Amino acid sequence: MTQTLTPQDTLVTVTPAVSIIESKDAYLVSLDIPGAAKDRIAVNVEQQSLHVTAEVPAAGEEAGKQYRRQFTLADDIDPHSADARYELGVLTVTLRKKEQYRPKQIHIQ
Amino acid sequence: MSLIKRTPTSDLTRWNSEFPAFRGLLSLQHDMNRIVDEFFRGDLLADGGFSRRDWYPAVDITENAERYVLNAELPGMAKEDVQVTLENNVLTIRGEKKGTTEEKQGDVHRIERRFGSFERSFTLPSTVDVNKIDAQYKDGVLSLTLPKAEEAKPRAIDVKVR
Repeated sequence: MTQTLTPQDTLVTVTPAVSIIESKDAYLVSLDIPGAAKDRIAVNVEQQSLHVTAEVPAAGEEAGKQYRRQFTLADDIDPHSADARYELGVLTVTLRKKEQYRPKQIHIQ
Repeated sequence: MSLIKRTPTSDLTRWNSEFPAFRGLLSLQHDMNRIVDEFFRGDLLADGGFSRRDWYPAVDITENAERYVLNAELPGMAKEDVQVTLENNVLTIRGEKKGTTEEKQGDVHRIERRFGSFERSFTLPSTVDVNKIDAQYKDGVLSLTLPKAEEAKPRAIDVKVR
């Protein structure tokens, strides 16, 4: 390649492995992002999509990594409900379902 | 990819959508990286004592004049679930990754993340000072520092000219 090397090019782009689990009232999207500092992880939710990016800077002889993945949100997801946690190298984004899609007990009068 | 409900029977298998044709061209590079990653992580990487269990964590090994550094990616695992042993000059990392309750009880749409037990072994070069191996675990990365023995480090030898 004849491209000029910029610092960005020294990052290896990685698609993080994901698991998507649906419970009664939410979706749990978990991504393996080992070695990232919390402040280098960005989670953006727009009307119809979820974007996750994270950077693990180069350390010693090892190249840095850029994790990137994007998802289209199903209609039953409330985009304002997104909540993210990072623990043991796993980023878990919880997306709650819109009120009308959550199971509800209806009382019989 | 999208969060769209699938029938349970197809959920646990690796999806065909890992192949680029099913997605936009922009994600082609991601897919290729992923496929290459998994390829080299799999059976073909016969690095010394390589034993088969449920899955193999990705491992990066780097070397400089002073030491080797081995980083194993073990996201989702607690320190207590990881074990590092050294026997007959073979370093073994083993452990078990358990899913959370939500992960076990919910409806599965997609599971690319690996669970279960793993074991990976590496025969150490004779230059490693096995008494000074150091292990750290942080944010899902196990980092082993394997210092080289003094006599194995490169050094300049003064040659007297007479």
